[in-house]
Amino acid sequence: MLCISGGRIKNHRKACMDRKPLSTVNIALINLKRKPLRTGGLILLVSLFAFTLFGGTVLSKSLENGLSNLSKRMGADILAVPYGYEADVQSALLRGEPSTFYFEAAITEKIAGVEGVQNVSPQLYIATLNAGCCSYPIQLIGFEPETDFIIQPWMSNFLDHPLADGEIVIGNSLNAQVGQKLIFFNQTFLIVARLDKTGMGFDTSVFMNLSTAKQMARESERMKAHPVAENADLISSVMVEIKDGYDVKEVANAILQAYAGEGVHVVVAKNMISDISGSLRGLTTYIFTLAGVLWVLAVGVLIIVFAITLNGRKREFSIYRVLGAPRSKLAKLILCESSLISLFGTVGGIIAATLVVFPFSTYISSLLEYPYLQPSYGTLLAVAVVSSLVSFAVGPLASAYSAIKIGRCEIYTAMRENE
Amino acid sequence: MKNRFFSGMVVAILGLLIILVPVWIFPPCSEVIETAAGNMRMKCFWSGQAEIGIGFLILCGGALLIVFKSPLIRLGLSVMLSLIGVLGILIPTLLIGGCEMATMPCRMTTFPALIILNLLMGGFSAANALHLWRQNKKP
Repeated sequence: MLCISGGRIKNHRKACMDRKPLSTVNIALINLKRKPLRTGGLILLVSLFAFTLFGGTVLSKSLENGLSNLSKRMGADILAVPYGYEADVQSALLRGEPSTFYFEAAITEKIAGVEGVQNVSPQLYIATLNAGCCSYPIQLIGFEPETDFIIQPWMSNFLDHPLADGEIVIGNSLNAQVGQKLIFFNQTFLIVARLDKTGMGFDTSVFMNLSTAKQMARESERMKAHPVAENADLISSVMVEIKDGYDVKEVANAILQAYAGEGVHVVVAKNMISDISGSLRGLTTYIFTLAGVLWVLAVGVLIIVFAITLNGRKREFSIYRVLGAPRSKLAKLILCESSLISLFGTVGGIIAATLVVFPFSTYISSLLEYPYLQPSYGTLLAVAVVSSLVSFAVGPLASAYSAIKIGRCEIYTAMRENE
Repeated sequence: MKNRFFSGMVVAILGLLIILVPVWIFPPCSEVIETAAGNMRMKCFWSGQAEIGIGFLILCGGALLIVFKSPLIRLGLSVMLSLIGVLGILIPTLLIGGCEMATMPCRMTTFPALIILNLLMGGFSAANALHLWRQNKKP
């Protein structure tokens, strides 16, 4: 009677009572345990590949999602900003970096008069010094609820009235609830709505109507001089939506030609998005190239390791044959060993990637400085399944040749070879 | 002996990492809040301090796992360590907490790292306890 007892194959009735049966999986497990360093190294290699594939794909999908969300929700075709602050408005939009730049509010009406312009909405940016929730500055954005077509469509709850004085809307990453109160510059504000997750800088911003924003600027004057407190007719940017049938570039040029002298510069939203898209393509290519190289490396190393160890194990396989194991059992054993290595490596790699990519998503997005929005659970599950399958295929693929070779081997020749 | 040394070392290394996260690897927010009563440290700073204590306890637990030969003592230590892991997770999430904004250093790096390390340590200790218990049950 053959069985596995104490990590060894035994042929004794007493030793075999209540012990593991001599199945292919159990023998494969013992064989793997017998060479812990080799097994550990191969598992590490597969897990490195699984980690890169799953983690990289989630990263790339999140960036893609962030970008598509940005282009869907941008709303404005053109952003008019003071000359020299084009980069600042992008960092405020993409990363929520507190920025303060201003020009005359009268420019809104002037831009509205340019041919091809359908809607205009002014915004006023104020950076806080100390917020009730924390002591890091955050971006406060004042907008005109009557003309706004950027902020209000993102609200997760329906607001039945235009944003009144003293009311604020918070970004999704601020840990406060609708109905709660927040204090900025010693003034209490009521949270009336919360934005959906955008993956952009708006997630960490606070929104209010223009008069509240101006009032806040006046309050902030106690701590630090503020241009808006001196001159209430200042705004930071004008969001422009163009009429159907007009070319964005032509309208942007028309605005620039007419008002560049007044310190107005324009940022075309499509250009901004295509710039980011270009950078993301580079990043995605890099991730998948790395994953491809690792896959080839993992398969290559496993092929070499199985081919080398096969030669050293010919005697062992001959003994299995003498004990009555058919050729197919040996092939199954090789495949089982490689599949177990793949399985452990895949599980380890996916778990490790999960522990890095999800808890540190905010940190990763802050390092990448691009819009970052995690895909839905369905997409994540699909990515996990595909990554697991591709990663799991490494072992069986790499050992297929060795399995076929051992299946064809003659007992006598194999035994003699090792003598 | 091998298992004793391995389990003790894993726990001790995880304990050391729990100490190092708030001190050196991912320090929590260092700013102070100005109040009428004077400058105040933020909540996350105190969460970090508590985690340093917990990390030290885990480090000692790891050393004791190596020192003690009796499986029953190691079983008790492992159960205790897994519960300390739960406490280590509860400190930044429930008991003390941290900053409200997701983009603050504590919420971005310190807490996720501490939660993962405590989770790994707690899970490993629970698995070790189960292993020792099953071994102890064998005639």
